[in-house]
Amino acid sequence: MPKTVVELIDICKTYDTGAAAFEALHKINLVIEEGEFLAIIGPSGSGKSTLMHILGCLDTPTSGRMLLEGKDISRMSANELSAVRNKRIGFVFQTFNLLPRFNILQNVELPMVYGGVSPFERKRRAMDILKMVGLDDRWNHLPQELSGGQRQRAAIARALIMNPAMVFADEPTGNLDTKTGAQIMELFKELNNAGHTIILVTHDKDIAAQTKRQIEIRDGRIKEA
Amino acid sequence: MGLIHGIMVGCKEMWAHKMRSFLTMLGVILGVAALAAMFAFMEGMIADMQKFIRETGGVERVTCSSDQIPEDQLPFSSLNRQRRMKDIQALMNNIPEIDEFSPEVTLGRDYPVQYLNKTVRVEVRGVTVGELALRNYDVEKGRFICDIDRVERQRVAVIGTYPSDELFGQYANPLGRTIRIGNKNFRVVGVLKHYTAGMGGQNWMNWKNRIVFIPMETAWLCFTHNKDIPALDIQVKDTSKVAEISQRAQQVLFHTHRHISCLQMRTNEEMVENFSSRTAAFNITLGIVASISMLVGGIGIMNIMLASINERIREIGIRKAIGARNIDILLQVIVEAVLLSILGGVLGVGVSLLLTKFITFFVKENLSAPIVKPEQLLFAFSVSVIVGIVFGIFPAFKAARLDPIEALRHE
Ligand SMILES: Nc1ncnc2c1ncn2[C@@H]1O[C@H](COP(=O)(O)OP(=O)(O)OP(=O)(O)O)[C@@H](O)[C@H]1O
Ligand SMILES: [Mg+2]
Repeated sequence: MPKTVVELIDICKTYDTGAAAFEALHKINLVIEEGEFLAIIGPSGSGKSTLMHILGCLDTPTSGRMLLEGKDISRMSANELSAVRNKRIGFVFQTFNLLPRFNILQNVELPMVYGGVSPFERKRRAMDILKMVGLDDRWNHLPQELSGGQRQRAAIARALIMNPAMVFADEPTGNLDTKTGAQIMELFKELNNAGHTIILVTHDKDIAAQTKRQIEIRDGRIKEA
Repeated sequence: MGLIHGIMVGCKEMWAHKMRSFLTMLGVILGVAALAAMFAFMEGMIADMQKFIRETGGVERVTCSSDQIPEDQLPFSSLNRQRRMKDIQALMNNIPEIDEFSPEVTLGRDYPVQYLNKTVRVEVRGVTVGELALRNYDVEKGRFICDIDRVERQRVAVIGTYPSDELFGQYANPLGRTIRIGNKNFRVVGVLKHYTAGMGGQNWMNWKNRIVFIPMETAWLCFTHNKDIPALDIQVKDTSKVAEISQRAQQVLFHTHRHISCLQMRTNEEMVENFSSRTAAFNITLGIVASISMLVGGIGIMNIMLASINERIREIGIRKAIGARNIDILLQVIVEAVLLSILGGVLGVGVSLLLTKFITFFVKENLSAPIVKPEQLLFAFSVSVIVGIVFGIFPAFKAARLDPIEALRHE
């Protein structure tokens, strides 16, 4: 019997945009089990990133409850949430969000700085993971010196470095050609086989078809496919 | 947490904005430099002043001098008389705690003293042995005035290094030579030690060297033609009793002077107090100036840290998204502020050393040689570090409180 890692109960997210309030998410109910490989699809502006941010403990819902590994995140302290973001969750942003003044080795090392890993160990592990995503020969490049796909891979490397139980990836293949996209998907499949729970957002039906389960979001509501 | 990481990031930031960081540091540099230089000059002044007080007899000395006779006593002021040996006798008999007496008969501050065809103008004073202890003199060559000289009204003189050098040259032996004081011949029997203080060729202890001593009784016989003692100093070794003894001495002299209050007892303690209150005032003024420039420096740091975190809101969001705790961000910003102020402090200490050298090089007169004490440099430096922490706290809190997703959305 698989364990539930994330449970969303009636999650709503409303943005206050001056005059009118905009409801980006409406009563989302979702259960994600350990070891799942889930794709979230939907048109642009449907609320996929908003949902991912809530799942990644970066944003808080306006109403509703979210249980992460059985714990209500609204009851967690700021430090506990930081620890969750650092150790349990790996997040790949749609816009990469790499630090511009740090080379990609330093970027990949960063979660380990806050995770209390020793500097020597940090370097070793970061180089290992960069090798895995095929960027070991570019370790001393700044993000702006890399192509979109390379940045994407660096961002994935950073998300994986703390060996998180859950990986949330917001359009991880959006900037990649089909071949590299396929490589990235292979990587995610491997991770999933190794027991990681993977949730990814995509526009691409082919990519979505490679996952075990798909859900569709339209205007902030879930339509399970 | 990665303190090393924080320092590295801080250095990177500083390096990325070299000019901005330097200008920010300038306030701290000037503040620390002013503070440290001020300490050095104050220390020099205090040392010189303490030396001055010591050389003029220290706090054990009580000066008894004439005072204005109060108005209600003026009608019978003619009853009053000058101080004589009788007064000293009375003090000796009644106040055993007085350790030394030094009656003085000063002929003049610019009294001509001649040797062959050379003339110097120095202070000529008729004294007793007590002078050595009370005015803190030492004999370098020969001997001092002794009691036999006084009893026999000997025409002998003990001279300071200034008349000695001027009359005989630096290398000749003045002992046994005959000098003329006024129109009387005196034999030199002793030369005093040479006294120096200050710097830059200017010796403000020279007054101590411009002196010729003769026996007091000889001064009476040859020059003043009376037996008055215009000035009297007494020494009380037990400094805790100085005030009390000077009070009692005044009472004794009140009696011997037929209850006319024509005398004033002054202790050196007053001079010390006067001096310390003046240095305190000086310290406060300069302290205020230094604090204001520290404040300005601190506000500069706060300003630049606010600007810096504003530029790096996204970076802070990213750090939080990958697991930085609020305290990590807080410390990061404080570390950066402290790095700025530490570098400012180090440079400030360096500038203060240059500044003291520079000032002493150009301003030689009326200035004591500065004394640089490591603990005071350390203090000035610590102040800069504290400034960094204090003024880093507000921007640090601002950064730490940022919401991760808001920060990530920031353009
Ligand atoms: N901070 C915000 N303030 C106001 N409205 C917002 C904010 N963030 C998102 N929205 C709105 O919420 C809706 C969902 O946005 P979201 O970023 O989740 O879309 P998405 O599904 O990720 O789209 P895309 O595929 O283009 O990335 C959009 O209509 C957007 O305008
Ligand atoms: Mg999106």
